[in-house]
Amino acid sequence: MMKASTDCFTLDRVSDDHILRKTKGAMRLPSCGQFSAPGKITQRSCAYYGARWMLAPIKDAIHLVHGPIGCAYYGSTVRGKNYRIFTTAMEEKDVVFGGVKKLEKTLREAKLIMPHAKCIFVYVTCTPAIIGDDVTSVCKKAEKELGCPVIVVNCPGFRGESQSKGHKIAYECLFRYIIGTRSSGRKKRSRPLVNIIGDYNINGETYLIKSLLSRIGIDVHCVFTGEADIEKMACAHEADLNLLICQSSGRFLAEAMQKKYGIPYQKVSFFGLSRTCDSLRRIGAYFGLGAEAENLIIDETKKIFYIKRDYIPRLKGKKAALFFGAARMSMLMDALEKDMQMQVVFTGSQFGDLSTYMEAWEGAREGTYLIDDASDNELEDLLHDLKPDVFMGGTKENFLSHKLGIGFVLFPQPKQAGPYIGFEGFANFVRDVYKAIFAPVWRLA
Amino acid sequence: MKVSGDCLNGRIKDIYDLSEIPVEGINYDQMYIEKYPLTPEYSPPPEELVPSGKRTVVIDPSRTCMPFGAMWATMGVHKAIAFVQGAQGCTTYVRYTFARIFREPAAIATASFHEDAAVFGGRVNLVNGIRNLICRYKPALISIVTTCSSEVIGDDITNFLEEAKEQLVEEFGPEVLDLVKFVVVSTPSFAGSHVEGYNRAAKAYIQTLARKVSPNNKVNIIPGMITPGDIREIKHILRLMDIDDIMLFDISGTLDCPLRLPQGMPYYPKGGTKISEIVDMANSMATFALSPDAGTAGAVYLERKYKIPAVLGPLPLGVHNTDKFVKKLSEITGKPIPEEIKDERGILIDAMSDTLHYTMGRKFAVCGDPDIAAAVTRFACELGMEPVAIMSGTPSKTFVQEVWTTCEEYGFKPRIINEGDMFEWEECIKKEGVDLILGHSKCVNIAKETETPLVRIGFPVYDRVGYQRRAYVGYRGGEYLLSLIVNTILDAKYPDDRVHQ
Repeated sequence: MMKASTDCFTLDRVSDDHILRKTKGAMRLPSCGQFSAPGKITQRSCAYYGARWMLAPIKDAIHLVHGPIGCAYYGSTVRGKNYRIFTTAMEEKDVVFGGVKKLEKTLREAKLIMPHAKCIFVYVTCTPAIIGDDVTSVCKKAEKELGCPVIVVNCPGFRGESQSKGHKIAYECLFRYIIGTRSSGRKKRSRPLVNIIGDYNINGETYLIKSLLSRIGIDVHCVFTGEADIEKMACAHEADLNLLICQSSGRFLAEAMQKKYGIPYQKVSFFGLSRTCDSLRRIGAYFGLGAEAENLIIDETKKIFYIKRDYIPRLKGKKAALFFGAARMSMLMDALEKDMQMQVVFTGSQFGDLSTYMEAWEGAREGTYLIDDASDNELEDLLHDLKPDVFMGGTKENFLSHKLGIGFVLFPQPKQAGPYIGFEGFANFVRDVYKAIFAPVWRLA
Repeated sequence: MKVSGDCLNGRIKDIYDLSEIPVEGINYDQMYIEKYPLTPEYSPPPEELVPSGKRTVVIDPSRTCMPFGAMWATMGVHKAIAFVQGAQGCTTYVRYTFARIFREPAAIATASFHEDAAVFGGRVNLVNGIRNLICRYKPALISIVTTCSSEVIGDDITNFLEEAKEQLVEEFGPEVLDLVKFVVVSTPSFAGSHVEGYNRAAKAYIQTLARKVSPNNKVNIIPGMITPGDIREIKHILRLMDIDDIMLFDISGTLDCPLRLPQGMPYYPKGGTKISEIVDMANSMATFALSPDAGTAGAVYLERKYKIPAVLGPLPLGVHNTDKFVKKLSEITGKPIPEEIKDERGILIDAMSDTLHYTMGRKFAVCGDPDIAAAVTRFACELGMEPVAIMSGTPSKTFVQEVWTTCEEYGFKPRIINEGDMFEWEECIKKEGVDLILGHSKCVNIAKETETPLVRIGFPVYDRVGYQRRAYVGYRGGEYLLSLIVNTILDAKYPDDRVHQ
């Protein structure tokens, strides 16, 4: 019909520079950090989404969305969990006359309804940002009146190229207005104290990390933001070390805390056996607890020996494909290729930056495709042409993959899957990958 | 395991704490699994701030914004893709919602608004976006759905679309306009709700596409936001009555699709309302808007413009409402009500009589979209249950009247909340106490908190499997919903199955 097909993406003719294949020779990276082209069915989301993703688990705060009702409705569910949400539910007359009066009144009422809240987050969405509501001055006024910090999270959906902007905005707010505002008064500590940045307590993952660290002899103070309350975050600057887990969303906070409070940070990952062991060893070595870490690793590895015996031989050589937010891209590639002896055929991310792609390039084997901000039909084409045995990504990709007859492992994982990190979590993950590949349904399809 | 006295006096937190469940000694009320008492920080809120009409803050809304409804409608059209003139989140959140409810892929394109669009308007985004979308997906129809940001900026969509068409013709030749149709649905998010968005989409599609030719002896059905299973049940009734229909926004063929390999590329579901069918809607005998709040605009437009009688609701859920629907169908088409349908009705009545001891006198609360909430309330009343708090998250003109009539008829005086939020409704439940909650998945929190069983119905249900494939409308759907209600009551009140042996 039309000449359209020339513009269509095909694997033979890679026209776009946001996808490339790893070859021998110098490092090349897909173009990233760009705005998505309009009309593309992108998997990305907006800054508000990113900010909610970060801040939703903070439980002793009021989360107030200043904007039309839809944003609050969607934002009340984060990672499959429902949180209480307050909103101004802007209407036509607020758009015409400005929503400032409504916001003032709403703040007062919200505080009356939830008097034990220690802080109020006010999310600014597209509409008030475009009509130019002066949210900052309202919040300053309310702060005095209500006697608790009222923090403006300026995250209208059109800011930045994707939700990663929202992640940064959220951490910026925490860093500027909450961290370091209080002192715990404790002077002496017998055990080292660390913060964890970028863990979101999916199915109790935070508790798992805490128990591993505590067995080495390290206490965890605050987990951003999987287990964070205002009190803990306020004195998070007293920790000895920051452990950075999600490197794309949390790096800003880790670097800022290093600069301002002199707290060093370590990039760690508890995903996959080799990375978990490596991380524990490095943390142990940092605090002079190397022997304890080694013992823990030996103990725990023994417990999941059956995984190595029963599952991994069957998974060997199977093809996997990945598409994630950003940080999991290379983390998972390691786990799949090194620990599970599988082969990754393509890996991509919605909003990875140069450093994440550099890491991915280094970890990838030859022939692996790297793709940034894949659209729906690019994923479809890749899955169709490369025929992986299993695909991993988010909910939106899940059912497309099933429609093409390819097993899927969902991230963040659903409730029944349990945690995926640490040693036990690795066993859970391997079992789920096994299920996704070997389910009888694919033979029946 | 020995059961200690402590264990019996206090509530048993986890059933897995017991290696064996003793039959004697534990009363059923104590044997709940994973339930929490009122959260420790709970303190009753100030009395004057509970009714949502008396405050400006909205807490836990039970409605979302208009673009959602327009996107839902577009999902029901064959090879149609919605193009959302707004930021990326406006589509991504919706795609998540569809994926979670229907467990199906949902392709929706975005104009990707960024700072420049917020300042200079979305003209470039729309013109380039439409071109990109056509190149990549070759859809048969693109519906342009506006959002709060594009409406606030004041994007002149009609003009932008003309420009986009001109460019398309220039690039691909004039035949491109025969291959792709365009529908503009204006849905500023700061007004109405998702139900109104669907309503507007119904009107926009009909207005843009429907053309009068010659009578086709069909009836138009505008289903509203009901499940694919519901739509199949409506079609089943029509087939039994030997009536041809045009189902507008038929999501049963797009959001509940078979997995059959190999799949064509790019992936398009087989089903959905064909554009030719929407064009033909101007030639039908009558239009049934099953959900009066989601579809009236379309039905009324057809009535005014083409003199096609409009039948507005009620949603055929429960005995009375389905009776009304079937009778009206028979009246308009002149076809008799067949034996099979009378038998299906008889089976529902039989099931109701068999279970009346479980349902009579139970107090219930309902929360959901207005049409579904009103119909479910009537059905529960038909089962002898007593309404306590009935809420529609969406403002509706007919909802209060509908529920009021039902309650007058059965002699109850419940709290009826129009355009409320979950907070008000939950406080009402906490105060009054109910035996059963009928509502969407967001009611899980209050169900857990007050230890009340929940029957999931309405939009959205994402934490149960197969919900979208079942029918709740019609006599057979009523029978299924009845079983669901009774089994939920049984599970909650008598969790140990041994008592039924």
